[in-house]
Amino acid sequence: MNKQIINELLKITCPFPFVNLNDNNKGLNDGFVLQSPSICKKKFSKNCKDFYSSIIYSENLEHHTCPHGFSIFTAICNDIKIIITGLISFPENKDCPKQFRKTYSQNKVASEKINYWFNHFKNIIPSVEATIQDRTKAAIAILHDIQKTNSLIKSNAEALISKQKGGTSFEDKFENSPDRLKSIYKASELLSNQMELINLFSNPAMITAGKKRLFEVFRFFDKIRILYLSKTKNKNCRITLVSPFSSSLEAYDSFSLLPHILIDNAVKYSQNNESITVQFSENKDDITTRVVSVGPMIEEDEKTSIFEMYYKGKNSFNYSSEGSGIGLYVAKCIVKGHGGEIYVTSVSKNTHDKDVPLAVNTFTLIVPKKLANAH
Amino acid sequence: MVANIFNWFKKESLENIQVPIDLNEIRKRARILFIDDEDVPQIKILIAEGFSIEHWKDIENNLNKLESGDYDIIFLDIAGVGERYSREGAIGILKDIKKCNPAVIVIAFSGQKFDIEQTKFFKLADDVLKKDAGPLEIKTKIEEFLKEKFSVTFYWGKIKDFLKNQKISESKINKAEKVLYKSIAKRDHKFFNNWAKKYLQMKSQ
Repeated sequence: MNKQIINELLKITCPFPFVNLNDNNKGLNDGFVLQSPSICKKKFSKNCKDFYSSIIYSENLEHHTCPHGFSIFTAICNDIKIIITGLISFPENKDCPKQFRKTYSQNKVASEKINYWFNHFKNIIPSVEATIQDRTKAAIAILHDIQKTNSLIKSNAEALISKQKGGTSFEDKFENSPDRLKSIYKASELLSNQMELINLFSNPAMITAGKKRLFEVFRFFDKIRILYLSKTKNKNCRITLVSPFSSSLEAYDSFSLLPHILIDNAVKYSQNNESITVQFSENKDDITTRVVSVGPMIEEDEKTSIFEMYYKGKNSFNYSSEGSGIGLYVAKCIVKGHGGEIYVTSVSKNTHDKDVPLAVNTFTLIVPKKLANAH
Repeated sequence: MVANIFNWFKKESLENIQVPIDLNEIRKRARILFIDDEDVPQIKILIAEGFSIEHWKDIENNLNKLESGDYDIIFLDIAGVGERYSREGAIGILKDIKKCNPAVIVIAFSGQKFDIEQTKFFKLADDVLKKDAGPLEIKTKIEEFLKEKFSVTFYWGKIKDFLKNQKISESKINKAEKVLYKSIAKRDHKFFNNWAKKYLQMKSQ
């Protein structure tokens, strides 16, 4: 099950204080019955986190004593480190200073109660997982109907475009089509990409399904640039693809979603009147693409997290209500499926918009020209 | 010099046989089948483009046609297809087609990509196409596969796989390719037939 869901489950069901090592802002949490000792809240630091990281975790709940003398119970559950802290358990804890025993007497707990809760917690995970899967399946099944409707819209739009005069290729006829027809076609294409994003998010194994073929990277970014013309026009910004670039790379169909995700992300968070630039370069074995835009600053400790499922950067969250925390996660999965890498750099512009610090954000995508057999 | 030696080795490879491809002719000749329990709005437009396309809502009693290789490309949906024919449904049909006629191209055409339980179906297919793909995208895929399929190397690839499965040695397979190459270059099918007969006689002795 997703780590974030297990952490949420922990928040709801844990009666004891606990620590979430993945939480960058607030690692220490109160339980819904017992609170963390005030001394822990005051002195909770990197040293405490280092101590928790130094413990060897097993599937069974194990007792340790922290340097201050409080009981800690640790275990690993679905790859998540469970850390119950700030307790004075009996009969194990004999090291807790008298003064703490007196001040925090409400945190004295029999270890069998903690074990009882942990076993209960482990048991509810599979049933919660099954419920989430059933609900997700039912919700996603609706997508099938949306896709069917979309294929009807797209087929009709394409048929009308094909009947336009002027030019022989579809691209020429598209250029000669009335604006409204173009908009219908573009909206249908965008919807199709968004549906594909949900498909790959729900079933990442599909990233490497189908036939490998050659992709002209520039052409795919240019196609998305055209689809986003009306959105960029509304924001008075422009997408510029730097210099013609004709190199191709071997990829699965899922690769064509990367330009959509990166451009969509840049358009969502870029400031009005700012340009979005896409740069291409290559060496013998791989192709590098950089999507550069001005938007909310991505903090140093968020540069990895923003590629995690459902994660939204602190400044991005304050800047725009758009975004679901899915796109960049899927982008990372697609790049990984093609044996490449994706990372972000964020250079401060020393200016603010809506009280949010702005930066030049560059998403860099490095993908091998030839897929390794393992991918 | 090195390049010349390399070319000399490659000289008798079937990859070097260039057969001019007339796409219009291929479009007319190729037989394409959609198996989907629902209407496929893209088909009408593709037929208007000159493709020869049939649409089945399910397998019914047409299994022989699938197995005997009547179709060059099959677009196969997963939901509501093949349930009466196989316990595995569409996966069962896909496996059967690939077993009987590996040269048939099967493209998974389904809106069930999100479903983890159906991943096997998509991975077994030659390619995957989303349900809301426009006629242009479908046309591009069809033409790409037809160009590939109507080439000598495609069929030789399939024969090679078959021979390898029959545990025929790499050197024998290379010899067969050379003879086949000469036969095609001379436009003399008897040349290959005679060699094959001789080889089979030697094997039986």
